[in-house]
Amino acid sequence: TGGRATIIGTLLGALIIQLVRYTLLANGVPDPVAMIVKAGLIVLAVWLQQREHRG
Amino acid sequence: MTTGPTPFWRRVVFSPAFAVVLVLVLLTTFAALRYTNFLGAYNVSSVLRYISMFALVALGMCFVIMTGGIDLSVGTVAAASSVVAAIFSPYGLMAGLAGGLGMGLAAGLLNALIITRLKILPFIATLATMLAASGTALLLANNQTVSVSYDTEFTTLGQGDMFTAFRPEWVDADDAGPLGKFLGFLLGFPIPAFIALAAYVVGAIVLNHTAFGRHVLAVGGGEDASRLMGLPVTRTIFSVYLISGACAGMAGVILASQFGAGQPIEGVGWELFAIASVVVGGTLLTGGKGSIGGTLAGAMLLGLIFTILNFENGMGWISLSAYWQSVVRGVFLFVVVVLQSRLARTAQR
Repeated sequence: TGGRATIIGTLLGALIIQLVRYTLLANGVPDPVAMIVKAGLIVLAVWLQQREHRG
Repeated sequence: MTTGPTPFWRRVVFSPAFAVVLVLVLLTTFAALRYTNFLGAYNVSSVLRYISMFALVALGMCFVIMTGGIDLSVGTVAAASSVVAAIFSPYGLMAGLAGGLGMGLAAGLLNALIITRLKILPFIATLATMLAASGTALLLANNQTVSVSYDTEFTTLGQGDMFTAFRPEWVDADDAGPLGKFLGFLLGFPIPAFIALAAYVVGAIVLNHTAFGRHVLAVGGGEDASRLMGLPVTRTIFSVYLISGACAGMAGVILASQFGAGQPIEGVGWELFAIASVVVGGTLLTGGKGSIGGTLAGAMLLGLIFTILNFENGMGWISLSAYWQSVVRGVFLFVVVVLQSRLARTAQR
């Protein structure tokens, strides 16, 4: 929805997503599965954020 | 402005679709004069076959955009559907069709659920589905293209023509003349193009003559206002993502059937093609106003531009690499969209 963002937060988010991806890949999870996990992570993060936002 | 209703000719001339059709006709004339055989039955049929996939995806996208949403997942969903269709193709045409459509509907359902239940913005929800569908496609296909079965009738869906059985022999003769050629073209109308055309007719009827169509435009015009008026907002939004998923699924089935393989890495950039077609056709990205016919014209215009670029490459005057071609497409698209918005503003005055 915009209106509220931090540069550091964006950096952290990108770091976390890549960290999860490489952890999965390093543990022998195939790349496609890592993609699906990433998708799930995005939805989960946005959903949590929205719940918090509405109180 | 003078009082009274706008005259009919004025409404037609200033409608966004009119400009697109005009450019379409001009470009076709240009191409027909410049390249030999551009309007030959073979070229027209193969171009229509190719465009039909994009046109289907654009139709679904049109409904989504009219509600004020967006569906970024169409490309990878089509890719995933092509893989599923290819896997199911040994069991026959219907099995492949059902499999591909099912995959598309499943993705549409996922989009619809995330957007209406979790109340997540369409942009983000469909972005996530885009990733998930791409992952699913690669998983199912084991990271490579999946060949379809040629033992069943599956490939006729993408490669066949509509009325082959009724085709008289003389239209294929060398001295058939223009009439014979035209008849031959009509009878050789490719099946995918027929499917796309049928879908557009149904889409236009649904938008203009059903309660659902009016709800779609009302939701796009103002979601809160529509909710206050007691319209089934959630159900409408739910439905448009299902429609978009089904259209992408159908495009995927055609993709697999036409090229003989399920292709997990196809579909990149299809969503942009679809969005561009919808916008060029005069549908507002903010929702609330839209045109099915305009979307079809937009999809055909973009497809025509791609084809002309290919022909231009074939002439040997210029030699564009695939990368430069996408740059040219991008510039072209930009010009068309800018002109379009200018025109729309003029028409509103």
